[in-house]
Amino acid sequence: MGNAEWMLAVVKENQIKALKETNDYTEQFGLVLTEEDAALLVNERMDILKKQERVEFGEGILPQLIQVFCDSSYLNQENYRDSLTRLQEIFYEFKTEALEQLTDEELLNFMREQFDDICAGDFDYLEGTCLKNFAEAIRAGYQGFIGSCGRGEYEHFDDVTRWNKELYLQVLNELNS
Amino acid sequence: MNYQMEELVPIVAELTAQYTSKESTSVPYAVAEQLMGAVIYCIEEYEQSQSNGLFGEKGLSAKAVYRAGKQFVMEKVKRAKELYHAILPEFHDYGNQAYRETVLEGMPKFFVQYDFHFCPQEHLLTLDYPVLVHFPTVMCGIDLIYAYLHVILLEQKFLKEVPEEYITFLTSSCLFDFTEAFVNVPALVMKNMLGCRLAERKISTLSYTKQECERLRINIIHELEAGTLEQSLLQELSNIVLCLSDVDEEMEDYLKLYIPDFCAELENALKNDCLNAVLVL
Repeated sequence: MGNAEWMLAVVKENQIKALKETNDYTEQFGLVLTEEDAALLVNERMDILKKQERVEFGEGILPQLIQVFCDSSYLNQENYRDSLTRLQEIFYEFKTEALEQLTDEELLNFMREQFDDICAGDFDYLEGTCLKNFAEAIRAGYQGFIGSCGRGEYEHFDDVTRWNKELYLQVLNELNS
Repeated sequence: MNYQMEELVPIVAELTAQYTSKESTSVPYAVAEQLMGAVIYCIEEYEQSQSNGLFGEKGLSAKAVYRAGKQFVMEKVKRAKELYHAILPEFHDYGNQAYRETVLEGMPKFFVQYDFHFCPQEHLLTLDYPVLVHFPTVMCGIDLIYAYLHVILLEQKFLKEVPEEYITFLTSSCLFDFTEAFVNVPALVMKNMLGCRLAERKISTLSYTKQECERLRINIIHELEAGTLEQSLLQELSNIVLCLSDVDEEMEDYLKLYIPDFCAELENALKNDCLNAVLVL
């Protein structure tokens, strides 16, 4: 095995180890990655990075991504690995789509917020609507996310008339009284 | 460069973390290539200094060499600034826009925007004003700018030795618009001085007489037929340079770079009966 291949093997091993270490935190939410799951996620990561023409050093975004999403009610042990695969893919895609304007933290915060709220756990909606609108706004020059760290941003770009929770409760109270 | 990719990747990784302020775990290919280019540039800067006998330590790690090379880059930027400040006080563009814009407008922008840390290989300027030396295409970054400023200094030293009224006469008598042309000013001056020598007349602002024009034409033909035109022009250039006070060997060698092109211009002008397109007659 040449030096480069040996290095890659060591890096992969370290990444798998780092992913398995996240189990210490996530098992309280009923989420655990097996050795096989971790290896698959690491391989997926290489493929996605190649597809998005990105380079990543170190352990990558997955441990952070897991930390941010593990307590979402839309994740369970059955869909855990596939959800992480999808989230990872979406993350790298929109790092590029937002022209590197978003830090990892800002993007992860936005994704988590919208995933739980507007998207109700729907990855396609997260990718095809929320993030698409957000990235478009950033490309057009929007920078409001800098102060908010990616939180509470979507209301500025949401083009769908949604339930106003307070108004709904107010009208409900009026009807009941 | 004698280092393997496995030695360079950790340096690039560290540089990437600095570039992103540790706010991103990944960067696009273009950024990664740029940062790898930065590392290689600094390493090559160090190796170049070794081959110049400036630095003798061998067996250093890639990281140590990179750091030393980056230091050399920083020092070269400092020396380039000093060179530029030596050029500035008496810089004269003689009305040529490209000369002025490149030296007076472009260079200050370079010194403000040059990124020796993340992109030392990028020299930012297009260097539109043409100089007589053809820099190798691999030459880039501060190396290119430093070399360019060095020849600008040589040019200005030469031009200072020539009476300004003669240069003004030439620039205003060209058949082309000197103000907007991409033309090397010393080359314009030098070839007209050499033209006067070929025509066996004094260098002056007077137009050529009919006899002088004829003598010029005949002498060029004779030199071309004998295959001695280039040699004769080189000798005449040396004779001219001897008459100027503040001219050194380096400047003469620089000016001599134009002679082959000048020979080709004369030969072509003779064939097409348009010597007045090459020289101010």
